[in-house]
Amino acid sequence: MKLTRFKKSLRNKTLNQGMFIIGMMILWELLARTECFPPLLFPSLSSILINLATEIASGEILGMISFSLYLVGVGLGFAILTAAVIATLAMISQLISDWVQALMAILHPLPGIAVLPIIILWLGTGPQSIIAVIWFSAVWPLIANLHTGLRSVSATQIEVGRNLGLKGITLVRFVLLPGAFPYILTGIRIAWARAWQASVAAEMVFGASGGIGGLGWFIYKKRFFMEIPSVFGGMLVIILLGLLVERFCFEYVEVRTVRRWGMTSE
Amino acid sequence: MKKTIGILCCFLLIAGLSFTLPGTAAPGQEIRIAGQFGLVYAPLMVAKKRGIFEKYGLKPVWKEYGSGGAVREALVAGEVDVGFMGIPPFLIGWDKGCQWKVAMGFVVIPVGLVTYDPAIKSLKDFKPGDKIAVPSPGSVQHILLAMAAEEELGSANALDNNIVAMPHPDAAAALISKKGIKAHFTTPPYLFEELSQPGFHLVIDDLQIFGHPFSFNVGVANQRFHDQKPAAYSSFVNAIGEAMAWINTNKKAAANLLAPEFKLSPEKTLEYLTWEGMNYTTAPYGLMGFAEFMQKSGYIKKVPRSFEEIAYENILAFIGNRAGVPSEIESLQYK
Amino acid sequence: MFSKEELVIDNLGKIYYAGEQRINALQQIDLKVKTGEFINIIGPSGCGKSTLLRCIAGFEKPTVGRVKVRGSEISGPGIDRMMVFQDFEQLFPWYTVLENIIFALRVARISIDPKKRKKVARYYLKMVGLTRFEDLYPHQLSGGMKQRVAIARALSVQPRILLMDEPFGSLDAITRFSLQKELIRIWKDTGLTIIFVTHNIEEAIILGDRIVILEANPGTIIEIVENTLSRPRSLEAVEFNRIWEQIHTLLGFENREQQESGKSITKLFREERELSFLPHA
Repeated sequence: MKLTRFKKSLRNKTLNQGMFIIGMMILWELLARTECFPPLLFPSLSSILINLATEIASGEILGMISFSLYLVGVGLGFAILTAAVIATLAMISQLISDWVQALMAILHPLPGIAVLPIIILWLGTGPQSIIAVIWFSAVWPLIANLHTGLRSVSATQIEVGRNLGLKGITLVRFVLLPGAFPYILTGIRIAWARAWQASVAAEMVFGASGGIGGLGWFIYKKRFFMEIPSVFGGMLVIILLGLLVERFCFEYVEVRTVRRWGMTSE
Repeated sequence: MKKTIGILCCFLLIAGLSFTLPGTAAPGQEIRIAGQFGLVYAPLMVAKKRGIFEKYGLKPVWKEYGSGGAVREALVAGEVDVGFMGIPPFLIGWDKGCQWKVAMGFVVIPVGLVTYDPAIKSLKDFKPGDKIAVPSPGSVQHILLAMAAEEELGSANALDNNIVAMPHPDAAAALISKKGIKAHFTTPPYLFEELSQPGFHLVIDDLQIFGHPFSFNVGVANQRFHDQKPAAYSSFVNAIGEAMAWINTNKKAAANLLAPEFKLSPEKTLEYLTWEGMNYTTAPYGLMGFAEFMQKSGYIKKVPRSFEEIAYENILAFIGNRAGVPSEIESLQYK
Repeated sequence: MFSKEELVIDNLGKIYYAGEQRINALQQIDLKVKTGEFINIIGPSGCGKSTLLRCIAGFEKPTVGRVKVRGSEISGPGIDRMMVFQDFEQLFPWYTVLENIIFALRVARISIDPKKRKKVARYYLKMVGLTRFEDLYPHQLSGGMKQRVAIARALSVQPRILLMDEPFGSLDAITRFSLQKELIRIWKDTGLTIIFVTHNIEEAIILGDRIVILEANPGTIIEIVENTLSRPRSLEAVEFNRIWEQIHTLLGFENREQQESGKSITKLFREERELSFLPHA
């Protein structure tokens, strides 16, 4: 009973939001059709979508999406590895924990894109620089969440594990990691969002990284050729991809883990 | 009721006055200029420093932008009345329906592709991983590279995946430290700076690609500004002309005036100003040559049917329209 | 009945340092527990009863003295001594009720065959009467149910000694009463040795064969009360009240002293909790 009501309210909310978005889209189209603003600056939604369709059909945008996702994947993967190593070290030694916290306090507020000039100097302009920026953007929220997550694992559960004979790696694998999982998931979520933003921003600030370039480069290039509908199209793709990953990766995992286990704060 | 009508009338009066005022007052006409900096923009800097705009009854309002792209966007948005850009970016905007035309030529300067790699002697020697820095996609340098690629490699897009977009100073620093990029398509003073490094050499230059000099930058004015403030428009063209003439006849004085701005010695500045090929001139070159190539290669969809579509009357008068065989200046607009 | 000495605590002492302050959490604790005995430890907050239990479990190392189980000194936690905590969070929230027990069996390598493991786990769940709830996750259970699962999980690895640190301390009176009854039944069925810490005098009398009474500052045994009341024990029995009075007097002296030193019970309780998280002295 309670559950159905919950589902119903959820459906209402989705419906509401869907209607709102459709309303906004219609308003956009109508506003653009009146040509109150120069169409060059404010293209109609239909022209954006038609443009996008042709770009998808030509395969251009798909190649760029996969390139962007590839860069984010590599950067995020490295960031997760680094964060795991650093958080583990910080668990073992209070000294390292203090260092990590100091480092985090200093570097966490620094947007990844701000270190790009230095990274370019050190690593050049290839994809490795963009990956480095993605890594930098993602690693701090990951470490922060992993660090708090591991420390927030119930002391009692750790002792139950020890009582059963777990120690070292097995204790981490069977008790600490699952115990910290809600934080880990949050960390990866934030890291993904930051990494995704960083990949787009890095390419827009410093142009293509070589090869075909990703979505940031797509928007950058279209801007200089004044193909404004394509710029909007690129933005649309970025939004959609972000939503898809959130919906079909993170929510999927969340429903099957943290929420099923009752480990959410809600 | 009467009171509200009275207030409303007052408002209308004030609004009407303020609307008509700038149009009627000839002295001190406001003109919003996208100010840029560097050797290319020397006439603009001279006009500013010597108060030439004021002499022509103009009240310049300077707006600074980070990149050529931003200048163009400011013009489109109507934030500025005039700005300077390469012919290709201008044509891209014109093709997309921007209400603007060329008001003047601005500068003819050497443009060249520099590399440090002794193995690279022509475009054929670039391998897929070799990065070539240009200021931005659709810039003069990018289009020149595409022209050269079409000629030497058979396709205008042959080097598209080698391109990285980098601002001049960053690209110059990267090239000199031999980090990240293999070559840089650039203009003075970066061109001079890079070529003075041991082993750095030109792969190709503008003359080899285009065949004759062209306007690296042109002055672009919004149609509305041109139509609504014709006096301000012509004052601006003449003021820039005076600044250029002053540089061309007083290079030493110009070098002394500009050296502190560039943070260079007057001697170095003079060397740059008098480099072979440098020419500050309001005469336009190469307007159609770029248009035809860009249309053929798909960067723009249409080519101007006549100069009228892309240039104001002073430029049309300048180029002229010779009966019979086109005049020299007419033919210099083509590649 | 109590033939062998299951557990021997020999001159055990535990000292903490809280900054400059030296705290004698436990001092000169000597205790012998026979196989199958049900021992209660009671004392005021801060007397070190939890610390004593944690020393037996091997979570903490005594500063001096030894803990011996069947003659050999312990070196750390082990499945021969399973602890049941007061904390409802002692179940792993990412496992279902049944999985929590299966996990314990797997980790403790009690049975290799997964099918057999499941059977064993169900057997212990049945023992605490939770068969119907095996597929629920811990967050879906009530406090009493969680403690039952914790007991079943501890039993599943077949410990020799069950250590219980106020396991019913956070439960309401009714649930607590029924769990006490079940614990006695399980104890009788399994023949386990149980060491049960409580701060509730009635609970101690209902459950234990012997009641170890501790006092604080320093934590020492002041008395071991023999409880020969026949089971099931009734709160109304005269003998029950006699033992209650005896323990109360023993503890009451301590209470008065606490009031004199101006420490509130809650404050002392908090101190005890903090003590158990301090690094080893």
